Amino acid sequence: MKLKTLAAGAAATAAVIVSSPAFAAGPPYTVSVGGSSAAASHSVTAASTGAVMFSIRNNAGTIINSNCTSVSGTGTVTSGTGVNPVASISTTTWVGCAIPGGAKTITQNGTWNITGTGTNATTGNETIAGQVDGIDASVHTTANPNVCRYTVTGRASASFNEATQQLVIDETGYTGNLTISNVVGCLGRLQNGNAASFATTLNVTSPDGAINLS
Amino acid sequence: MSSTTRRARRALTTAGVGAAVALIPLAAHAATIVPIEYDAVGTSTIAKTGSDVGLGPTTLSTDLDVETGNFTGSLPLPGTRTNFKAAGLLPVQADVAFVEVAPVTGFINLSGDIASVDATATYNVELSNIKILGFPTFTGTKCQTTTPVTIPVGTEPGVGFDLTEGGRLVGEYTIGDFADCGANTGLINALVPGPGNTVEIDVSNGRFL
Repeated sequence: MKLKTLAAGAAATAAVIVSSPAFAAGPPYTVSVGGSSAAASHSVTAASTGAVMFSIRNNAGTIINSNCTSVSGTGTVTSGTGVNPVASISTTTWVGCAIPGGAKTITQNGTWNITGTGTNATTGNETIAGQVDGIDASVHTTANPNVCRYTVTGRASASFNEATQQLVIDETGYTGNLTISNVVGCLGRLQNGNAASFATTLNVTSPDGAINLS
Repeated sequence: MSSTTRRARRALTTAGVGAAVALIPLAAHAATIVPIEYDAVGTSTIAKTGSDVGLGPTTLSTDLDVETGNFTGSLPLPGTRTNFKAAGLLPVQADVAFVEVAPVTGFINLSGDIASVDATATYNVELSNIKILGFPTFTGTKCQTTTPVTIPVGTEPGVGFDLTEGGRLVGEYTIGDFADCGANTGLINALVPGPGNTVEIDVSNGRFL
């Protein structure tokens, strides 16, 4: 069965997560990799199928695009019963990233988790809603980090398609789930607290086989 | 501008910022200046004569305030020589010099996918060594515009400027009357001053100092 994202608004969702993480995490899953649900950690890689959309809406309402041509990553998926978060992203490599005026460099901080947020899936061929939690990345202009740098933190709505083994990140609409902070420079066009949107589709691959949740 | 001058200016800027912070603790924040140099080369077309004047190659030096997007700078232009025909018939040659009389000032804005630039440069335009029909004429050494020529330039609509790669700046400006050109003053003021003069400058190879 398809798992749906929490329907509450962004602010309400954030409040629930802060006060009751277990509720927001949704029921734990039985996760199998390559058909085995034995408790184990499996390495995974992810690569975007196309461009990475990342944009920021500043205090004046102006949209500043800050896209990348691709991103790839490595991490682990946890098989077993009662699992959630189901996966983690430990490293990411961002390619072809730019803000208006120049190239930018993105560095992931810490580990990002992929958490299911809906009810249990059963058929093994569905789209399971969730989110990427604990996003934390440092961004700076490549030529000179003093021109513009900031930190992106928060979470992004996502879903995992079991049939295609794709993780679709779709944090759009500048909900405030993802914001920037520690802004330095940026020609006065970005401010602390500006909301960001982030969207990309990643092919997820484990050498141990396909990932399924139930 | 020499590297020594730049270092001195940066040192003064740093010292000035430090003093400001010490003396005015309520200041919101000190400006952060990032010096950037570019190669620059271009052309200006004088509307009334239809002649082109080469601009550069030269170096555009800028001090960018990364907190505001404002910048100041310098674009010294080497002297050049231009050719045109007076009244469509008489070949005229002249040395042209653009002498900076004020710093270049400008602003870089970020929006959508691009960074746009608007800037203003100010020069006195000097003419010398004027030849008509190949014959030297008396122009003197102080033949220049009576008021500085203000040249606004900017990125074209929809075309961005990259802080490292640079970009193309275009603009249109007016040349005022000349004075102190000896017997040529009347002729020059009949031929050169007027609006609609264009400028194109290719800025490239940004170097953060």
